[in-house]
Amino acid sequence: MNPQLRRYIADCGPASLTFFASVIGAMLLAKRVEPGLTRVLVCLIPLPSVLWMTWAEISRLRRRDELRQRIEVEAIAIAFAMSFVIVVTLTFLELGNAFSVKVSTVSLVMAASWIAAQIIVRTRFRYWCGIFGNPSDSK
Amino acid sequence: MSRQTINAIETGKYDPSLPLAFLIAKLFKQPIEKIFDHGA
Repeated sequence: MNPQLRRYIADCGPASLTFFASVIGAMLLAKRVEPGLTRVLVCLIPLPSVLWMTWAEISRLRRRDELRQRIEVEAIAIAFAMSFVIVVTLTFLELGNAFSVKVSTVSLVMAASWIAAQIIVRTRFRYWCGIFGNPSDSK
Repeated sequence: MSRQTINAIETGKYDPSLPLAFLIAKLFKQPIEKIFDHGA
């Protein structure tokens, strides 16, 4: 197995597994519970695992070396901008009654933007230096 | 420090921070200006 992937699984694997398990468990359980406070509490079951996952990702980022930190932070900044533009566009379309968007769409947009930003920044550092300028020159 | 970072510094794709540059200079027991030349 790739050493980077092995390290990622060791750092964030338990938190991610707990997250997915708690999301699936909470969704299945929520359908069997009567609407009300109990259902709200059941739907919030994944929240602690989200916080654990966030802590795992941040502590992993802080342990990385400076170039990797820079790549991650740049990807997060680009992902934020991308998801912001998409979500704001969807909000305007919804305000204009063009169509209705579910709140869960925002999570998907954020995840997709983060993956796209990671690919863009990693590719830029690996292949595009010299063509679109050295990333270090922008410091 | 990762292999990716070492490779990026060697190929000029990434300029290390001053603390890291001093650490590299100390590791090779060389003055910093001998290892990192801006015009190179």
